[in-house]
Amino acid sequence: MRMSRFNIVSLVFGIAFLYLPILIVVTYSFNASKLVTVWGGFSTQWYRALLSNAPLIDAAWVSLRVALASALGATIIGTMAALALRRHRRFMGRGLFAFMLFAPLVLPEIMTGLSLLLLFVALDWDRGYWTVTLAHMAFTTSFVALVVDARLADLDPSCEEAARDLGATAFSAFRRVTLPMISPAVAAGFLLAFTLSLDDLVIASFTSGPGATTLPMRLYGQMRLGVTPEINAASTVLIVGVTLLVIVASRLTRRHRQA
Amino acid sequence: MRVRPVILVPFLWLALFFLAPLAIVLRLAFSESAQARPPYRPVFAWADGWQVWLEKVKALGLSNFEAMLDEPLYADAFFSSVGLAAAGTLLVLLIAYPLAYAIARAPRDRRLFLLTLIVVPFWTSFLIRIYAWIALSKPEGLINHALKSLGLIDAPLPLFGNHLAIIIGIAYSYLPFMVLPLYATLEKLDWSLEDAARDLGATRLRAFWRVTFPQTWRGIIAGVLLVFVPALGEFIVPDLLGGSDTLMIGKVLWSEFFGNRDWPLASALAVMLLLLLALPLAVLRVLEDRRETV
Amino acid sequence: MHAKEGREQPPLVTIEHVSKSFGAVRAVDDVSLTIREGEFFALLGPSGCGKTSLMRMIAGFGEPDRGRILLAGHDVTHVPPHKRPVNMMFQNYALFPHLNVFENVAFGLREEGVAKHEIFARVAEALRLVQMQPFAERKPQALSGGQKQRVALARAIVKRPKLLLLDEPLAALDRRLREETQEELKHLQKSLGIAFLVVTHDQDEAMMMADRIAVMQAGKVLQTGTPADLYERPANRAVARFIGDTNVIDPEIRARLDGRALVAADGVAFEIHTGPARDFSLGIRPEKLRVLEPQGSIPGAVVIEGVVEQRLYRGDVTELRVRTAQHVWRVAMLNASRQSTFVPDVGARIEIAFSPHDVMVLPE
Repeated sequence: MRMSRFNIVSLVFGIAFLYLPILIVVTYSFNASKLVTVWGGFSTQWYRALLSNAPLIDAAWVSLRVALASALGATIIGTMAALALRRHRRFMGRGLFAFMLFAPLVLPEIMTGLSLLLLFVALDWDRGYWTVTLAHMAFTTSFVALVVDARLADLDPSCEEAARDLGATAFSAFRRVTLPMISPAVAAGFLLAFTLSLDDLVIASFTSGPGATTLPMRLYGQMRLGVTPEINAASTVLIVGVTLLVIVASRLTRRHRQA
Repeated sequence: MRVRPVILVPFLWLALFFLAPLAIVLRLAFSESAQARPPYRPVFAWADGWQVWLEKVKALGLSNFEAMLDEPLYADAFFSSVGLAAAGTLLVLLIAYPLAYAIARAPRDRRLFLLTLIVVPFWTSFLIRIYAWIALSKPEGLINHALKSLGLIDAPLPLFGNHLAIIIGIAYSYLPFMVLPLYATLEKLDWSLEDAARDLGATRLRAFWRVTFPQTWRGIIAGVLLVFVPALGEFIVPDLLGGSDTLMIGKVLWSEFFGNRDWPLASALAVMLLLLLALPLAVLRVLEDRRETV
Repeated sequence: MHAKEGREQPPLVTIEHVSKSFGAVRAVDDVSLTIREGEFFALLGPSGCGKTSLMRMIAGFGEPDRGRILLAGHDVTHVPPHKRPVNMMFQNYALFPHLNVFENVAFGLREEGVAKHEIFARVAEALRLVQMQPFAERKPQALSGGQKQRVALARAIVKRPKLLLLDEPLAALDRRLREETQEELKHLQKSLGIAFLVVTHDQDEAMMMADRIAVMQAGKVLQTGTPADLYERPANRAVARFIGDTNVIDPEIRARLDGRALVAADGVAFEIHTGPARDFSLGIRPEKLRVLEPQGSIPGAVVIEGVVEQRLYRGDVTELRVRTAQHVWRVAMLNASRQSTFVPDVGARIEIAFSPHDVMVLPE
């Protein structure tokens, strides 16, 4: 099937629209000049400047710790929730359960942030590293559940039945048959939760406290002041890091599918 | 019935971290602002009991909602939010439809790759993508710089700090959300239908318009909702790309909360935002239900 | 008979040296054909032989790399599909799922800008022809396979094309419905007087319906002719194999003279007309072989001895596999009467016979 000229133009335009801005940020992170529109030659000075920017490095560490912890928690609870929904067709409050699980997907982040902050205030918890982590866990759980649920929906229930028929206990059938089959989705869910947490500005801004400034919060503070080559460099690091992560993850899941 | 931990644990978690916070927002929306820490005085106390609550509902403090109606700023913010989100959604649709169509018509072995290309930017930071647009669209940014040095314009184009910037920003950040559902519908279509229409005397464009387009309504509606709903409550886009005079609910809510520390008013705004979203979400729900039954 | 009438008609479609490649694959390779007005023409061949590509080029989907296509005397090689007076019935019918039966049939008329009352009348007439008026308000999803086929047919003929293209029109129907529809299509074609071009891989379908058939293989037309031509006088081995069952044997050639040859099969010599062909094989249809009853004989027949290896009861015929000195022959015995005369058992030693007039010479 040959593609028409119109289709090729649409593709090129759409992809250029998506990638050009990002490419420019990456390119200008290697600009020797401090001016953002003038190319002053190749330089890695802004990356060196990044390394000595202690607040930014601190924020990056906070973000990584928050993302890792919240993604782990969200993966466990999200997977459980998806299993509960798929495996148990009727239990008290199943409708409410499904609503609570998937409604956060469409809730504006600003509402999620505000409501969680008010919860922490009501509970009189000090805001900081733990509240951000819990908040991120709360909003990413739904995404994990969505991904795992989709995989569970495709799963052939007779596999687990076959395991039971061959003498496995319910738990052992789950561990030896179902879990390996859904593990790519669980991994994908974890990755999604991780990047969502790493990316979040709004919810973190509401629920964070002193000493727990995340990387997006720090970057946001600097972006408001204008475009600088240093932010370009920080952005490039983040883009490359996340892209590598996505590539590794897709490789992992693909190998799983072939096996 | 046995209580299963696989149900109980997530249930309690969701009740604590989704339901309870929403209830608190609702409660706060009817509270009064106070110069205190936390800066509000609750109307409903948890210990009151339902009879007292009933009394209080009758004398409910609607002051925050009245304030919203009295002050045109808030009404303006709602209207311009809807307008900007709608305009942004329309722009996304105009860019995404040909894109999704082209991918669906690409050779089978290229489609996954092209689709991945569209989705990858979704994984890179939202904040950074918006930042990338700032770098491009400022008066002294690259687009204006390039156009000026090519001699195409004298004065910089107003691409930044206004409504247009917000609309483009929405289009840029939410493009994958529109492409995916459109692709999903287009990919399932039988292309011989377009051939059949052309055989019956329709031009390429007419064949698309009379045969393909009417079959993609569901994908269009799904995509529109997936973009419109988050765009309506958007904070980062109007804050970073919009000017000081551009109002969107997300931004107003943020400044009421962090700037004026008026938590009850911010909560009332949040409740209004939720009510505003209820309609498109109900539409989405009906659509999903119908898809399941078909 | 129809074929004879068809031959007197002026040409409707003339295909001149048309070639078309997709990548490295030459789908249509220097094909020339003529379809006459009012003719029922079939393109027959296995899947991937280029018949669909050729038909799509006649409809206007894809232009030939070389050659040209004339329609009623006009060169339409580069005319887009919507401007050709040709309509097509698609393989899976390609009914528009968002439009009901009436609107599907009216689609082409609306594109033409035909007046409303005329659209109504013509759609009603087309639906009446295919007996689908009661279903005008139905959506295609609510129709059976046979009904969809009828709607697709109505949609294609309502525009009164000069030529109707049918891409595997019966492939999606079950066997019984297929046979009924074959007759109906043939009847409809004659009563409308429109030329039909059917693409099919099913030789029975082509034989039943078509006035003339072009057999295609690997992008080339092997032979064009009436069904009887193709069956009784196949141009070569491939056509003989593709149309009907054939015993193909490589004979021992003992002598040649003036377009005649003395050949031998299983050591038994006989004389045949070969024409100018140098390298050829021989074909004999299974039903042209006779089994001799013990001590029986047929004057002038070639008689070969063999052993029955297999016996297959097929209802109308009983098929035997007979092993002779050098070949295995397929022999079809007509079960003309319930008290069937003589059917040998497996393992029986028998004699089979054929007339040299029934031997087909198949050039390579």
